[in-house]
Amino acid sequence: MAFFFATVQTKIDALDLSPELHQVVIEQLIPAIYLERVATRSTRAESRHRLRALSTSMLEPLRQAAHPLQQLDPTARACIEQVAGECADLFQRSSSAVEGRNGQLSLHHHDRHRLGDRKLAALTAVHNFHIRRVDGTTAAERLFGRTHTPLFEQVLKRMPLPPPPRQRRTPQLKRFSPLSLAA
Amino acid sequence: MIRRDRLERAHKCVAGEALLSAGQSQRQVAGALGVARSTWQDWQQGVSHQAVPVALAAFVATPEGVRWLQRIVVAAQFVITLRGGAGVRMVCEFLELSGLSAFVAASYGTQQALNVALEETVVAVSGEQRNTLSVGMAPRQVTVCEDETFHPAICLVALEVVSGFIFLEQYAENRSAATWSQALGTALAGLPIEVIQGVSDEAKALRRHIQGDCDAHHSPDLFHGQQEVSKATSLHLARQLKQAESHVAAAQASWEAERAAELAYWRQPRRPRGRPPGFAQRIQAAVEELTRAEAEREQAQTRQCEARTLIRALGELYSPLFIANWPSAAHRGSCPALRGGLEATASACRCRGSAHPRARASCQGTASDHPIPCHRGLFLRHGAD
Repeated sequence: MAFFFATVQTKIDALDLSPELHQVVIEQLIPAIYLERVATRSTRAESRHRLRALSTSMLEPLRQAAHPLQQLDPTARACIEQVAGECADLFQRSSSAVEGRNGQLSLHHHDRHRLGDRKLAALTAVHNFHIRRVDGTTAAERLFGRTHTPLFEQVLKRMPLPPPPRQRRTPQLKRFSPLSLAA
Repeated sequence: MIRRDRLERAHKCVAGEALLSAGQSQRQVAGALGVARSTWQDWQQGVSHQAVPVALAAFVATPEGVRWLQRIVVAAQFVITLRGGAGVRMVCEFLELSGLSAFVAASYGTQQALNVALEETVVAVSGEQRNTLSVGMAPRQVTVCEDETFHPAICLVALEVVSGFIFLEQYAENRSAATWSQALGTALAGLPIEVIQGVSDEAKALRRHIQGDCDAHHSPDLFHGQQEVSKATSLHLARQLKQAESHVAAAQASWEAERAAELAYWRQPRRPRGRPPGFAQRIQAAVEELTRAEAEREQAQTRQCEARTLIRALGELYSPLFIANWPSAAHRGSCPALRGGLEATASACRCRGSAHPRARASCQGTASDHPIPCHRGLFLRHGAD
């Protein structure tokens, strides 16, 4: 956590805010965003609602027109919001994301008995560029901050056409009859 | 022999039908399309399958139908093999059951070739998209989450925590720090991304890779810490409970035996019964022993529940929201709440004043290994409880 607090301090200091705003960002804005993030990840509705309510109650005073944050121009406010979001994302204590991915890979491996390099790379690509969260974004869009053309549509354009079935001639069934007389 | 693909054939069929309806002969149509008359006649026969509706067969023969067919087959391949984790045989079965095998080759070999093409295309497209998106990307500092999985070959997995983007997912010869660093370096090549923090278990190679090679901060993983404490305490507590339960069972048996002896005595004929033994005292002693054993069992159950609750509570304590005070200058110190939680877990394992050495060491070790530095002002007033 030393790293977390030190980095947060550095990032907020770099914004060069007034002491009042500095305190507001550290004591209210970042915790509120952090709680919102935790609430989003929470699986239980009860704790989700509790954390979200707590976050909203902390953000409520900051949304008042008379609040010093609201006196700033929209660009500066957006910048503060972005930095506060980055600070809230800094505290990471869970490797559940990678553990979950390992579980997914284990399922694939169990089903196919082996995962080749090509298959593994394709699964990675599908995870990064195809699977969307509830907000409709892919992992690549969240990382790069830009949208991209849907993976499946791109793939579809390049895929060969499915070959037609072979033309079956009318089968002449030959029954095996060991005792039949020779013609 | 000239091989024409399905789309070209569909285009020619549509054009030929138009010429035929304009009154041209088959020979003229074939000449205009640049195909042999027998070929044209073959195309006109179309799909003759009893299970296929005529209208569907006519639609599939058009260019739109061919594209629709391609979308269905590629979607089936994509969803079944890449999302669902099933194999090519499931795709073949889908094509058979849906009736699409009348229009598409549904044999394993054909679909396997399509599957290979699909995987290669997916990898190629994603590589291109990664390169496109990285152009003009603002430099970013990220936190990576790393772990290995075994199939049984070692597979290194590293992803960015916030976005969930997988940087690295590949098999490796070993899982040493050097291998990790080399693999992650290759995965991040060309991206304006700096790793400033890594979340992982306490594996030495991972710590060395993050702290030494990446020069980043290693954030201890909560789950593995909890697991260590749980591993150290749960067996000891379970053994205590099992022992208490066996005491209860023995006391219960002793009490029942005394009662049975008393009943047996009084069922005897009066002579020669003799003077009755001290059943009341014996039963009283057995009841006291049973009560004591039950109390001991209850205590063991309580300790076990308490330890579970405390281990779970570590998850809430290891959070910046619970930082309640701070040692002023150095920004370093220990979070009293977390330390208290760990000590409480250790004391929960104690049985009659003696803690299991491994449990005590684990809890104390965890507390000292993870000093929780605090910072004035940040999150002080907003505990989530």
